[in-house]
Amino acid sequence: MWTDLNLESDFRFGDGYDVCVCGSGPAGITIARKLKESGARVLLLEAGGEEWTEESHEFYQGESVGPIEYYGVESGRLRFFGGTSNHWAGSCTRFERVDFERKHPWKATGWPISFDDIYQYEDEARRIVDIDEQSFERPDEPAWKSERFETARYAKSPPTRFGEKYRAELEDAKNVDVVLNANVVDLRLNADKRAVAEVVVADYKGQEYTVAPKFVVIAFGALENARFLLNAHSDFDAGLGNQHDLVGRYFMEHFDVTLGRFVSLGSPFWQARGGFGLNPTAAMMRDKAIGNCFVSLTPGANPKFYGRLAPFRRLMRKITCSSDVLLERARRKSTVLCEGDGVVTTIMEQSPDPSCRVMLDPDAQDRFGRARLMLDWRINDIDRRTIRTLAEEVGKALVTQRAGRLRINRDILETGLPDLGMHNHHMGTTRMAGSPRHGVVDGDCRVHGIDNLYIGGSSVYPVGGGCNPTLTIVCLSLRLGDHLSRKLGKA
Amino acid sequence: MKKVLESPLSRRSLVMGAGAASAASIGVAMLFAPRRRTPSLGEIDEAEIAPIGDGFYLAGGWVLSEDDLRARGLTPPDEPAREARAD
Repeated sequence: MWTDLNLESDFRFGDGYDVCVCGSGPAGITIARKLKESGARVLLLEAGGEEWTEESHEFYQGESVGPIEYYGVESGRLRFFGGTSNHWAGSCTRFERVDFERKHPWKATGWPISFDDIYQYEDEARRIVDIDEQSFERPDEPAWKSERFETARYAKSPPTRFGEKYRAELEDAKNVDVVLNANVVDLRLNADKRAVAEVVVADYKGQEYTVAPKFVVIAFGALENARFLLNAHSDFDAGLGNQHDLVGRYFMEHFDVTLGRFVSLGSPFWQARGGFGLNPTAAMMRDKAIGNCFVSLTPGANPKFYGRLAPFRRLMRKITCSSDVLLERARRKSTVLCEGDGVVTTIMEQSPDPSCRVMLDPDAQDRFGRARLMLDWRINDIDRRTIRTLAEEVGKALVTQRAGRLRINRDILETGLPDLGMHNHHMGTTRMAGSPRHGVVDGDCRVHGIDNLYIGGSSVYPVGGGCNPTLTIVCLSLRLGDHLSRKLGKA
Repeated sequence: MKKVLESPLSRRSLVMGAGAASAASIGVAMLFAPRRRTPSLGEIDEAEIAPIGDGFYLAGGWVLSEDDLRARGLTPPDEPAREARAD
């Protein structure tokens, strides 16, 4: 069944759903499809419609209130069928085994499950995001020999738009009902407050509905998962799963830091290759007590000149770059990039920090009366050390590889607070931990203390690694689908 | 200005002549300018060179080896004792 509440006037949810999956991004759709295969009866709820609308998107309004401005609160996510996969860039990497170790000196706990627990689903996940034919091994870079960095694994999805790709399959499935423009506004617990009894849904006309599935999965994305649980205070004042004040805390991003610019030596190193990616080795991460990172080395800066003086400026650059003396003089005044010079950019792990968090705004509510989101994004001393250490080590590696010389971004050296960007990788706000004192969900993604409530997506990540999150979201969603199928006796 | 106007050369010829002279100067400069064999790093203040371990130094923001510094006529400072560098 495929229903749009905007087009219905007298709708009622049916009975007998095994699982209600709330949210139709990569996590929600993957969980629903996995359950569909097992024969479970599934209800998939999406708050938006089939296309982007202002009416739906405005629920993502929020405020960045931390010491670092966060620009992705509203723009980094999409609230319609297919979710944020609708503007996903398609980059696929995965956590390293070292990311599953307890990281020193981080105070927060790490994954309570293993690398293999997640990536046993990698082949299936690769087919889902259309990278099954691509090699996912470390690229062979014979010229790169370093004990501190190794070449990074990477694959590129077309990218897969989950809504477009899987719509027909879900619409045709006999055991799946998809309902659009269905805003999940609350969860009501049963009498002993240990299980969800009802999911409360509202449409944009103000009509409320309830549905009573056996299991509920919240998969709204890491920012909205936390906002939803904090706002769901019908039964607990602090919100659901928040008995230890952990919901919303430990928000993590991947820092987009430009470590610096490098000049090549005109060496043959760059002639055989374009840019490439590196990861710090496990040994270096342990030795230096730093986080993980995907380091991109992009050579071949080729500034474009425009206007009537363009030919003259091109000529001047050529002349300047051909001479050490002229180049040194020019670089006293400005940054001059010559052919082969490049930049070092990063997808850098942010250490889990309880003060970096999603909160509710006491002064702003959405149209259903639920508090809007406030995000306090901050960087700590561990992160600063990771940034500075990686900058220095990349610089050393470029020298030893005879590949160039790195000039570290001045802000990193002088203030330790570089101009931070982000990648719209929202993680950690309902972190996974074996104990409710350390996390919101257990190793099966079940909310501690509530028997039938589960969380899908990267909000369960206890650490962020140096990897794009989507492939792992899909693996974890397949795992959760399997788990629920077993609980239903349908595996 | 008057002199130029009275010159036997036309203004166009003067402009073209100046352009040719500039091009020739640039050509000569390119011919004799030392070729870029080492990375050009700008001016480095010797007082600001700091060791960062493993025989490398931070100099004007650049990560350089001892050889880099010596090739530029700079003296690497002594590395502090390992205990003092612990962070």
